Amino acid sequence: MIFEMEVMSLEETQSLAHRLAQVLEAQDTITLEGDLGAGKTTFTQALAKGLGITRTVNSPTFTIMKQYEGRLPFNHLDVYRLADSDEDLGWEEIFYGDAVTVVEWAHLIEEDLPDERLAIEIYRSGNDKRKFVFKPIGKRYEELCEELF
Amino acid sequence: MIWLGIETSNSPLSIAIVKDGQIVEEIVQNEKLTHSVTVMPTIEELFRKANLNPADLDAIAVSEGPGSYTGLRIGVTIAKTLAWTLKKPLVGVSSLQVLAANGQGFAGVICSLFDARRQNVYAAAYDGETMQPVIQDHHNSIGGLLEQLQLLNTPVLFIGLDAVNFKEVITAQLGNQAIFASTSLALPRGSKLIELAQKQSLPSVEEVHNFVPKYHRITEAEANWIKDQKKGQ
Repeated sequence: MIFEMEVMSLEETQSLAHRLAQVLEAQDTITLEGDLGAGKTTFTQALAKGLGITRTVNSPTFTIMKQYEGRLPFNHLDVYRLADSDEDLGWEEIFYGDAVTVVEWAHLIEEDLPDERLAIEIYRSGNDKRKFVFKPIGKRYEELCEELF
Repeated sequence: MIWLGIETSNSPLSIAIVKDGQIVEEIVQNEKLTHSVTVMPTIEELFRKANLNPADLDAIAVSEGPGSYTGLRIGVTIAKTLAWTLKKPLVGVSSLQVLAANGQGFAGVICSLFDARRQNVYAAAYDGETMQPVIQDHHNSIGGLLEQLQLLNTPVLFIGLDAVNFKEVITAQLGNQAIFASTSLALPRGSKLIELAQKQSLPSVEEVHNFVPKYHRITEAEANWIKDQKKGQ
């Protein structure tokens, strides 16, 4: 099952992220894939805002993970620097705790990800135009997408 | 002999200063705050209240795991940094043993455990009187742990904040064999950590560099095998 949405503006991207944030629950995992400038960070920032996080959300490329407190705790991971590494960052604690988790460059830790998750791909089709592709893996995420689209 | 004890292996925090075997200061808390912002101010506060300087320390004890990866990294990093900059020896103690020590005196076996998620635990069991390990620190499914405990055929005192997460399955499997420690014993204490650390011989200051947390996660070989199985699906 694949869900697609074209958005024409930054505001529409933010609104999509906000709506997603409203239906997220503890232990939900979202993977984000998209080229540089596709809008992974913009999307994540809007999602965090939707979760009630007031702190500035910026790239965790250097730290690998940043944690925030909102309506739910929020883990923001960029696992780019874990390429070709088997390092265990305590994945169970991250994915199966009480937080919502967003992972950028998630394919680099494919084997460590929860079996069920929401995979989001972002494609840039113009200045502020984006195509969002939601690929839910597992019943929980299929229902979540049906509620959203 | 003045000791500083740092226990951040899971969400509770405990810091203690013990002088010649007597507790001078101890803080035990269970707040939903991150250790990264609370540990150093707490240590500073205790030193101030005790009217001591960091240089007065003779040794540092830290809870070395298993437990929360983030908690362990914060505690161990702070302990190593203090130990190296102050040139004091650093002693690590199992976080499960620190917790189990709260139940010392129990006629039977004390089982301390931490929730490792997905029906898994970090757990160990100690003789209630001698505090010698009966089951070593390890990572296991809750079912696997209970099977081992059942075979011991002796009363088991479950201790720790996470024991309640498994209360149903523990009672179902062990029945009357299982006893749950009072909640006032559920938080690890820095003073117990120091008490246990004092029984070890003091390492050299240089050994601080080799100190790493003991996560007690599955071995790399096991992890790779599981990954291969997943890839093959």
